[in-house]
Amino acid sequence: MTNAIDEARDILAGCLFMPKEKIAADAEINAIGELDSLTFEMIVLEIEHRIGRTVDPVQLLEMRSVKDLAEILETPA
Amino acid sequence: MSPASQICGTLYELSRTENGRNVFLDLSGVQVLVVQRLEEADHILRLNAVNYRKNMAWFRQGLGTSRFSEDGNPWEIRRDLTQSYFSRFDRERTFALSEHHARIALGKMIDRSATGASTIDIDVLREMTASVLVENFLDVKLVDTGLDLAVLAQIMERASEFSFVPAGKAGAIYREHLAVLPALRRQALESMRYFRSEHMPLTPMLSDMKTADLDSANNFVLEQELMSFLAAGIEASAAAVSWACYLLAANPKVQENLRPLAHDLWRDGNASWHSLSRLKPFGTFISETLRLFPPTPIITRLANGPDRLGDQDIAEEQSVIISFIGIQHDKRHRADPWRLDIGEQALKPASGDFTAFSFGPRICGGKQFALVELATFLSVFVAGARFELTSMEPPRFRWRSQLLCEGGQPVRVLPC
Repeated sequence: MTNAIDEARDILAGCLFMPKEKIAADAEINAIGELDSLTFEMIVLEIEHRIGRTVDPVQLLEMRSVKDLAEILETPA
Repeated sequence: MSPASQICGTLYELSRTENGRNVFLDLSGVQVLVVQRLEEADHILRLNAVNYRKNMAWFRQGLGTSRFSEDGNPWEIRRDLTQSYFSRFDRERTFALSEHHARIALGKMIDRSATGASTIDIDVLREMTASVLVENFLDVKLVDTGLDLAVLAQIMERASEFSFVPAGKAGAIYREHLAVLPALRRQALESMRYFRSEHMPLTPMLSDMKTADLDSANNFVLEQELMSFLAAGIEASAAAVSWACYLLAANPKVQENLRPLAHDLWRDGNASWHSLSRLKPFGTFISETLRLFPPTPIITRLANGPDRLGDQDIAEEQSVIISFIGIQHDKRHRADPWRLDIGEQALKPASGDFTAFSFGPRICGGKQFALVELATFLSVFVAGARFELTSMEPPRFRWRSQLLCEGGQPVRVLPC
């Protein structure tokens, strides 16, 4: 999980244009930066690129935190 | 070319076919009002500015949140943080820095032309404007910062593709741009690490920015503000200088008239901003450059509520583009608005040094700084080189969050 958390922070650093050091492992995504529709799509594209498949839309709808994003990255195909 | 990259060509076309008139244009399925008259631009940007909010989501998409993209309180916080530094800079120091870096850039341009290049490399100009900006406001040499100007340019390029995409309507063709932005942003963040390090001189402006960055209440992020500051200061000035080079080459007689003035200025080694600022033709040439080829050719706004512009009713949420291209080529103000004129015509309404920086409460904060450095660059260039066109084809325009010349400026630079 530690690696997945780190990767989730990496994704959010790029998508929210935020230094990784400012993204806490237990942070809520909305609290890190503004999440508009294009940014959300950017996050989805980043996840899909990294895991090599599409993501379950239900998981995306429930994604609220860095930890949720890390869990998506760790979900088996 | 993408629809977004063609917008400047479209606006130049409109300035001819619908001269002096505001017109509606379909952009990505949205009816946008293109304002080409100074009167209505003044109403939107100044007189009734409170009714028109910024429509800069695309800028934020690339460069993050900053004083350039925000409205209301977030904008006021950011403006108050930096504006005093932009307004009260040391003109003579900016002049000296501009001279130093213009001489380096000019040498590179001459060398490049000597190898047979038929265009100006805008990266040379970007390095020049970046060096002056960074050294002037952050008191550090560009080379010491590790800043990657290429990444900045790539982000600007990608972000500009979203300029005219309505919210929630980004289609498949934009997914490619979206997919590469996070990696570019990570590179940009990495290249700005120096600004957070203990090695970075803590200038008053940077100190204030770092203090704001620590306050989680205002959503201020040092890197995002720096990125927009750099983008505006580097890219707009580099674009302006590139068009100045083009106009020098396209107007050899004007160039020859400026040269003796430049030689006189630099002859005795006592040149100063005080002396250059009194040489009106340089200021006028810069103003005309900004009028004919405004580096920031548009400003986008959304109407908060209904309004009336001239004889046109404006609905709530109406999207508006202020076209500085249209406004500055209005034939009501000049008999031949497409011609460079450093005489009396240049002083008429909608001059480049007035409108091209916008006006009203959101006027470009770096206007005075830009005018000092641009005039200085020009005086060094004209004194040290001749500029010749390598193609007689009219310029083709490219939108990259700035007005650029597609393929580079067709100009050869020769020592004199």
